[in-house]
Amino acid sequence: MTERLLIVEDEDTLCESLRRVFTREGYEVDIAGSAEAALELLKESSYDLIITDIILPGISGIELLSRYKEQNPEQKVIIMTAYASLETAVESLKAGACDFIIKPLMHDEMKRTVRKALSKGSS
Amino acid sequence: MLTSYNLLVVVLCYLLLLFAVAYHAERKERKGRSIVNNPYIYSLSLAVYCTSWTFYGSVGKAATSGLSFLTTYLGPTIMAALWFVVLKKIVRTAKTHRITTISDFIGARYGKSLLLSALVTIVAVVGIAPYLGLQMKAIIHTFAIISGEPGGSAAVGVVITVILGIFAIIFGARRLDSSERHGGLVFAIAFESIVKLIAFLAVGLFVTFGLFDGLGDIVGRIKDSEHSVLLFLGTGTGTSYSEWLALLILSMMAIMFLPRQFQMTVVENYDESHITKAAWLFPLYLFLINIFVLPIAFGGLLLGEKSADYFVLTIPLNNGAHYLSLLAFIGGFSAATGMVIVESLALSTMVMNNIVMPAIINFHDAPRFPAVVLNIKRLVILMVIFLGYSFTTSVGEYYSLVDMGLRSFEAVTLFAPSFFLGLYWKKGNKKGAIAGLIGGFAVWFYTLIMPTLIEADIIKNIGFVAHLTSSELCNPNSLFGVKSLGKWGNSLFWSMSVNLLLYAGFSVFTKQSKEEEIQSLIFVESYEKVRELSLGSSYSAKDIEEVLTQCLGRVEAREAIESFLIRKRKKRDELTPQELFELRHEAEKVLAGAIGSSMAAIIFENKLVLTEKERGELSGAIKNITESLRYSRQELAAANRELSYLKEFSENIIESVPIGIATIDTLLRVNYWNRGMESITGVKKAEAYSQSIIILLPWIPGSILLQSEQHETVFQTPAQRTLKINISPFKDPSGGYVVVLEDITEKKKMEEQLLQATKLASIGKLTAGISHEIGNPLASISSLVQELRTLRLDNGEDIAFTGEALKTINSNIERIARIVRSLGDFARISSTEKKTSNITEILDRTVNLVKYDKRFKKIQFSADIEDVQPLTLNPDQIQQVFLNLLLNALDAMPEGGNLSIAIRRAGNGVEIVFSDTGAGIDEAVMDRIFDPFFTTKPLGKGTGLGLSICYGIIKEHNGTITVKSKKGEGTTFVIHLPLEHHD
Repeated sequence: MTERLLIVEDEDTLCESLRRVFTREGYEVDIAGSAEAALELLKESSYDLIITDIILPGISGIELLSRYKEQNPEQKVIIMTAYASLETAVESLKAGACDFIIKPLMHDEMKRTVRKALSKGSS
Repeated sequence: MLTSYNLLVVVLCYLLLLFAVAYHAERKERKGRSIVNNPYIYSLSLAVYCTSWTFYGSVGKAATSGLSFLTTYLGPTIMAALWFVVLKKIVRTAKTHRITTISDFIGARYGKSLLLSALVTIVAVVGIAPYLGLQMKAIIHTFAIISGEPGGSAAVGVVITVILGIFAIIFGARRLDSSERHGGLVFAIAFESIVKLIAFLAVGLFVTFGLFDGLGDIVGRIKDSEHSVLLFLGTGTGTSYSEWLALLILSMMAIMFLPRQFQMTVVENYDESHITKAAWLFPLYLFLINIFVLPIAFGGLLLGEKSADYFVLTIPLNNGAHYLSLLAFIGGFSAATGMVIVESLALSTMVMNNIVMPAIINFHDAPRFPAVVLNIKRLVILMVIFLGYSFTTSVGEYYSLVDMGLRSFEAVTLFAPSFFLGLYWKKGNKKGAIAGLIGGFAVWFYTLIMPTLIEADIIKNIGFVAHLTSSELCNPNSLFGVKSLGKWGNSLFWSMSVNLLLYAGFSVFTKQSKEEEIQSLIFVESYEKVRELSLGSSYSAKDIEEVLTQCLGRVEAREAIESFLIRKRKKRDELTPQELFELRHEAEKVLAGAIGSSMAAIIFENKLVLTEKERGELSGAIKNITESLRYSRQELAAANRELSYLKEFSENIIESVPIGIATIDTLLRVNYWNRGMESITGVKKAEAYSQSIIILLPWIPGSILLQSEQHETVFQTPAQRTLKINISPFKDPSGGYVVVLEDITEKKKMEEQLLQATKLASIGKLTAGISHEIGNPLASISSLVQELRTLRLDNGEDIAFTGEALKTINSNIERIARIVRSLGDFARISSTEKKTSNITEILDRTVNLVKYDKRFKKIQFSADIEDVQPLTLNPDQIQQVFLNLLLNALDAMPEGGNLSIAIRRAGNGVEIVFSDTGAGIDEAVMDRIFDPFFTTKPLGKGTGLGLSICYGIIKEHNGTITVKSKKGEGTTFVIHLPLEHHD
């Protein structure tokens, strides 16, 4: 069955582009413009992987991560960040992210990271 | 030819003209451009001597007695030759002692005797009455002749007398200042002198050349007539040689002692040097006005005119020259008015000074208001004039003009002995002067006035009077049976003899009082120092020592006296009066050193009148004074030391500060220049003193000098130094400024650096937000580009997507560009200049920058911007202020809140309000938030410089920044920037 991805990103262009890229890769992709919208989607359905930006209007990506992980500790989450700093990486990993990618995103690298995360969980 | 009424109008017009002339002169005088202060006006004013007597009477006299009329003018001419010596001395003495009348002069000479002054006044008033009468008579008669209405003369007489009185008051007693000169009056009199001279010369020319064929013709014809005797001197004319001598002496005395002559020659004299010129100008005037006396007199006789006294008027009138006769009338009128005005003024001053004022002062209840005194003076003037008028109406009819005038001459001649001898003979004393004056006056009255009164039937010539006057010895016309003296000689000789005898006799046989002695010395020696000398001589060396002992102590007194004696190499009892005076002077100086010169003078002058007890008290008091003086001297010395230390201390401070301090006077010349000034300007003290600061420091902005209040400004020197200059005017009324100059180049540089650092710090703070903000579009672009690279572009879908994607990329690039631009705007190299800027634009720019801060996303932002006019400011600095305030607001609301910004017009400026709903400021630290390095943020989070920098910037813009805050509710900062900057 096709794996389901949820991309949370307030930057519309980027969000749409990523949806196209990963759809073409064969995933089923949903997108949300904010953490709040993502939580709404997560109420109805579940996803194999959530890819979220940290800085969002309203609740931040890390908040979303830690909040959702409380109920679904198995949920795989990858954090996207423009902060090329160790601090954010450590913070996101502490909150339960399985990996993080730094903006700007290199599609090939990102695809690899997604594949790695999905396979990690299934094993 | 003219009716009384018309003639009266003419007379009034003439008097008004005269007043206008006087007024003009007075105004010039007040403006400091005196037209009176010259020898010509002075000489002309002396010609007040020439009255109607001269104008009409001389002709009358010449027609009856020939050349003897000349005595009246030869006398003054002889006297004028003596003026160089006598008059100068009189003028000098009178001015020194502020003497304004002849009675004061004589009184002052004899120990300031009021009795003598009063006596002189009475003699003068009574004696001058006939003379005033003469003028009245002349005016009334000529008025009647010209108007042709002899009947109306009595009424006209009163009217004219009143008019003359009023004008005399206007000229002489408008103000109460008898000691002052009357410049206007003098000028008016000089003017009258010209009028009467012209009028008389005109008539003379008319008679001599109009009616006859010149002088030769007239004299030739008179020689052949019954009047030929008039051409010769001697008894044939009815004038004996002794009479000639008498008349000559009388007129010599008259020019000196007539009150009006004294007024004009002495009181109204501006400058002693004028006397020298007047000594020949005045006789010249007399000569001119007498040239035609004989021709007119002879002409009148040859033409058979009657009433020789009025030939001057009747000859032109009866020979058809009506206007000439009117001119003659005006001439005569001016001669008379001049005399009446000045004489009544002089007499009234005498009466006031010597009779009325002493009376007022003696009666304590009497009013002393100036207005009352002035009115009394006016009344006196009127009374004097009416006295003359009544003399005319009662006895004037029986005498010719000259006869009346000579009676007055005889009267004033009575002053001669006490006056002249008083000037040159020290021993002449008061008793002598009084006795001589009374004796002489009695003889005068008996010989000259008694017969007049008898003739006028005022005194009945019966009984004792008849017995007396008809006796051989006591005949008023030939006293003691001496008949050869002539009428005037008789009176002169006997009154003068009695006068001189009594004066000299009393003076020789009675003693002068102390005051008299002093005054006689002052008058005779013309020497003020005699006062001291005469006083000093009354002390002996012992007296002086005693005074010094009482005041200074025995040892000091003895020392002072001994050192003087050693210097003079004399013993105590060998001292001459002169040396005694010197000793007294020396002692006074010694005493003055201890207790002050005025006290010393008082002690020496009053020493003799003190009682033993008083002397004891005085010396006790003086010892106390000396003692306390000694103490206060010690205190003074201590205070002085303290002061000089303080002075040195404060000078040290001024010299040591690294600030330039200079003082300049009102002309901007340097008075003081400290070391700081030297190092800032490079100008040395020695070069700076007394130089204009504008020359020394040409780069000082000119506008700052000449400000009336404290002023401060910052400017750049040509050498690129930034200087702050502060100029404050001295509180001292003498003016000048204190200039404080400070080199703030380094400070300015540091301030700029600090601002730059703050700016970088705030950029650092914003970096996270900005990099995120740039990162987002960058990530989008990157993602799209990677997508595009995977496309093969072999189908329509790919191509359409490519177009769409490129468009999106472009818009994201624009976003990035915008952010970078706003960052660039902010970080641009700061400028230090102020320029006209739009405050709203600056705020926009700042908010654009801050909104990238992630915290801004949580904040409800609202702006209420009014349209405000551009302000002159430094946009870079103001932007920093806004940024600091915005970042502070974000710091205060980490969990979000409301931030509102308002820009609005407020009074004379613009108000910018930042209001947040953050944590607020603790009241305890409220007054420290603008202090540098004060911060409430955790260590390492804030420098504590933000708000203090804001404060400094706003202050430099002459604005204010204030804060309102409540803990937990939020904070509001209000900035007020003025529209105008005052620098």
